[in-house]
Amino acid sequence: MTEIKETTVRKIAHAARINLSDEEFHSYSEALQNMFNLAEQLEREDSLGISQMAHPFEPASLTRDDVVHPEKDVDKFHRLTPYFSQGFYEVPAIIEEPS
Amino acid sequence: MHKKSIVELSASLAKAEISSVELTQHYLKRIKQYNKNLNAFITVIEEQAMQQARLADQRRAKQEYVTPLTGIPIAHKDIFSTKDVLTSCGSRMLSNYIPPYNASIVEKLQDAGMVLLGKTNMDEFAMGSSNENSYYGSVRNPWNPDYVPGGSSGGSAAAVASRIIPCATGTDTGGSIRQPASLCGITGLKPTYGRLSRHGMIAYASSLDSGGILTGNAEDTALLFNYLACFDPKDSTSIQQPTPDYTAKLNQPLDKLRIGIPTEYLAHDLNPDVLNALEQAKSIFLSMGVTFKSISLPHTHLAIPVYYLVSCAECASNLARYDGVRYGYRCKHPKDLTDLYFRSRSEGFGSEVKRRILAGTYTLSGSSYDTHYRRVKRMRHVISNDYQNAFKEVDVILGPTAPTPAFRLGEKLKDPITMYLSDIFTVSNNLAGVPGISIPAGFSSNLPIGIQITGNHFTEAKLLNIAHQFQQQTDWHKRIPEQFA
Repeated sequence: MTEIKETTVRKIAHAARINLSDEEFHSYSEALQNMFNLAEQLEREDSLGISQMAHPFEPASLTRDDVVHPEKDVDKFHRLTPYFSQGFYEVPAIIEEPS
Repeated sequence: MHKKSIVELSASLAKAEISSVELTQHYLKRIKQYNKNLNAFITVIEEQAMQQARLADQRRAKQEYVTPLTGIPIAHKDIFSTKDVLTSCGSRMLSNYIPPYNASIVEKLQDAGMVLLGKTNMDEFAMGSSNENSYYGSVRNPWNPDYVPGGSSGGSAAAVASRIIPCATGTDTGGSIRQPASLCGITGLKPTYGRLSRHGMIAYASSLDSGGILTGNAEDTALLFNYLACFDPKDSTSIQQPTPDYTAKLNQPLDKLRIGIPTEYLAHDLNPDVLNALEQAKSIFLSMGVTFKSISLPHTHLAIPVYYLVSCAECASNLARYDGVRYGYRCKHPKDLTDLYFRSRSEGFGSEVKRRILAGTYTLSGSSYDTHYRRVKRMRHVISNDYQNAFKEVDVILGPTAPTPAFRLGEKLKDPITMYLSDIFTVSNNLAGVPGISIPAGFSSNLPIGIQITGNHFTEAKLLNIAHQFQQQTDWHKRIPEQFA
C-alpha cells in the first residue's frame, strides 16, 4: 500500500509552490491517502507488456511554414497585468542592489 | 419563445416572425429574472449582446453571410477565452483575466452569427462534479434549488434547463458535459477527442479535455455541431478529417442498430429509478427494431483511479503556469519572488484545485512516476482496448450517465472520493477519446435522469441519429421546470 507520509505531503506542496495551513495539511493528507488507496487496485492488475497510452490518438506532427508572423499588438498581452513597465514584467528584486 | 427549439427559432427568424433583437431581449430578461437564484451566469454582456443582435438582423435583412444560427443567442462556459470579456474559469486566479483573443469555438459560432449573451458558471478550472467549487458560488439545479446541477459545466446545464438560454458550450474532461446534462434533464454531447478545437479553451487535463455543447434536444445539437466540428491548425491535437453534415442522417431508421449494455454497469450500485429509466429506454429502442446484446467492459472498476491519476498529473503540469507574474491573480505585497509564487497560487486557487495539483505533483514525482504513472498509462490502454473489443460486437453502448439523479448541495462536498465516483460511467469515454451523448430518459422525485449513448471515434452523426430518434418517441426532453415554464 502506498503510504503518504507527512513529510511527503510537505515536500510536494513545496514543489507545487502551495502553502498549506494546518487544517488544509490534514485534510489534503487524508484525501491523498484515500485517492492512492483507491488506486491500489491498479497494483493487482497485470499490465506488463501493455504499451502506455498517453493520448487517445497518436499526435500528428503538425508543421507550418517557417515564416515570421509579426504580432501587431504585443501590448495587448502586456496589458493583462498592471505589473509591466518599460518592456519588463515586474517582480520583487531577486538580486540586491549594490550599496 | 423560450419553449421553442433552436431549429424552430431559426425558422421564425428566417420568416421574419421574430427578430434577433426581440429574441435577445427576451432571453436577457429571463436571465435578469432567474439568474439571481440559479447563479448560472458569471458574466452577462447586455450591451454587446444587443449590438450583435442588431448586426444579425442586418445580416438577415441583407441576406449577407446568413446561417441557420444567425441571431440565435448562446452562452459560453467561462473556460473559453472571449476577447474583451472576463474569462475567469470559475477561479479567483483568473478573476481579472480579460483575454485579448477568442477561442476557436467562440470565433466559429460568432462567424455563424450567434449572439453571445454571457459566460456561465463552472467548477473552478473544470474540476468538480457538482458545481460547488466555483469562486463565484454554487449553481443551483432548476428542478430543485436544494440540489446540485452537476459539474463542471453546471452553469451551462442549469441555464439551458431553465430556458434562460437556448444553448451553451461546455467542456468535458471526465463527464463535465454529460453528467450535468443528465442531472438537469437536457442533451449534452461530448465529441471524439480532437473533433473540436481546444485553442483558447483553458487547459485542465490536455489529453482528456473536449469541448462540446448543451442544448434542449439532439436536433439542435446536430445543427450547432455542424458549425463547430472542423480541423483547427491552432490546436496540435485537432483531427484532420472531413466532417459530415450532422443533420443529414437524423431521421435514419434504427432497425439495423446493435446496442450493447455492459454487464458491469448493471452490476454497479445503481439508483432503482435510474435502472428503471434505462429499462424503459431499452423497451423504446426495442420497439424501434433495435437489437440488444449484453457486452463487457471488464475494466470499468479501474476507470476512476486511472482517470483521477491521469487528470491530476496533467492538471499539476498545466496549472504550473499560474505564477502571478504575467497574468492572473497576484498576491499583495510579496516580500520576495518565492513569496510571490507561493502566496499567489495559495490564495488564487480553491481547495479542490489545490488537492488535485498536490495529487498530480505526487503522481509525477520520483518513484511514484514509475509505480503509479506508468502503470496508469498502461491501464488506460487496457480500458481503451475494452471499447474497441466491444465495438466489434455492437454499434453503440447504452448505459446510465450517472449512477444517481442530482444530489443535495453539500452532500458529497466533504468526501471527494464519493464525489469522484459519481463520474464512474463517464470518465472511460475520455480515457479512450470516444464520443458520448447524454439525453433525458425519466425522472426520480421530480429530478431528471439521463442515459448515455457511447460510440466509437467519429460516430457523432450516429449518436445524434439515435438520440433524435429516441426523442421522437419520448417527451422527457421537452419538460421544463414548472417555475421556468
